[in-house]
Amino acid sequence: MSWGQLRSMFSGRRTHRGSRSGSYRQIRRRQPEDGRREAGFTLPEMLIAAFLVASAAGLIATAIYQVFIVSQGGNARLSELTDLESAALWIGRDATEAVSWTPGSGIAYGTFQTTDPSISYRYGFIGAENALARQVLVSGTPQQTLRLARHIANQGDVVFSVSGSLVTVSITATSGSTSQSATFNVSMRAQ
Amino acid sequence: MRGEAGFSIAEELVSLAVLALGVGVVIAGIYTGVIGVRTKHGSVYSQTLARSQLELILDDGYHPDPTAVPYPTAAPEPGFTVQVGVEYWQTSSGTFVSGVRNDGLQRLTVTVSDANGPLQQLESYLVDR
Repeated sequence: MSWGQLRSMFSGRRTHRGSRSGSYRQIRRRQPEDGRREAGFTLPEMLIAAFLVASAAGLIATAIYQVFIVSQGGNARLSELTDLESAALWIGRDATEAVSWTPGSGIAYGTFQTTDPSISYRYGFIGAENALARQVLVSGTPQQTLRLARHIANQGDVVFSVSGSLVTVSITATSGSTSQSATFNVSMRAQ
Repeated sequence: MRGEAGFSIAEELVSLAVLALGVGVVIAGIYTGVIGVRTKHGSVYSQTLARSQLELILDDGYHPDPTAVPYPTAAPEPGFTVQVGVEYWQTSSGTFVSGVRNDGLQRLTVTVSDANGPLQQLESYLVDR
């Protein structure tokens, strides 16, 4: 490269820089003419603002998610507890009238026989509804079916076991990912 | 300055107060829900346990001297305790007394408690027959 070429390169660069610095001067000149500064944010300001907005959005989203999760979990637990309460009350009521318990087969857990030979109470599982059901039988004919618990995941989640006149019942109610279990004794009082 | 829209301090404070109120109401709602579920849990389990304990004793039948041959006890759920109190009928006075007697009638009191105190109390009578 000749000296002349180098000189023309440098002189060209100077001319270019000169024109750029000229444009800066134009901006600086324009501000006082308008009588006000150009409103705007610097990059650090924008970054901090973006960070704060992201943090606030994250917190709000977490709070909303928690509200839904807590309320769903609470509802699920209440449903399960209501199932256990209802089943315990009805089984306890029927046991006080019962003289014996006859284990059932298939979907039937078994039957409480009362002092009146024509009246009995049968307990069974309705798979399509995940329900523990109670039927009043008059002379072996079902009169009325009552769903005591509607959150029984499997037939094996309700177990009746008998020792003499004492019936021990174990129930697990499941709703979503939570479940509640209870085991209680009832005495066949009419025996 | 032209075009510089903004809020006054009073407006900011009012909006903050409204926001805080909204957040407070939501948190209070969640807290009430949690307390409600906990109360229901205690109520159902204490009721089931108290009834279960009483049924166990009624099934076992009358013990003339429960201090010598105690009544059976139900296994409580974790976090609950069950206590059985027995009072004895005194024919001469016509009242129940705490000292062991065998006048053929006992009053049973089953108390279920959790860490915060008694939750449920059931009472029943046992007759010697």
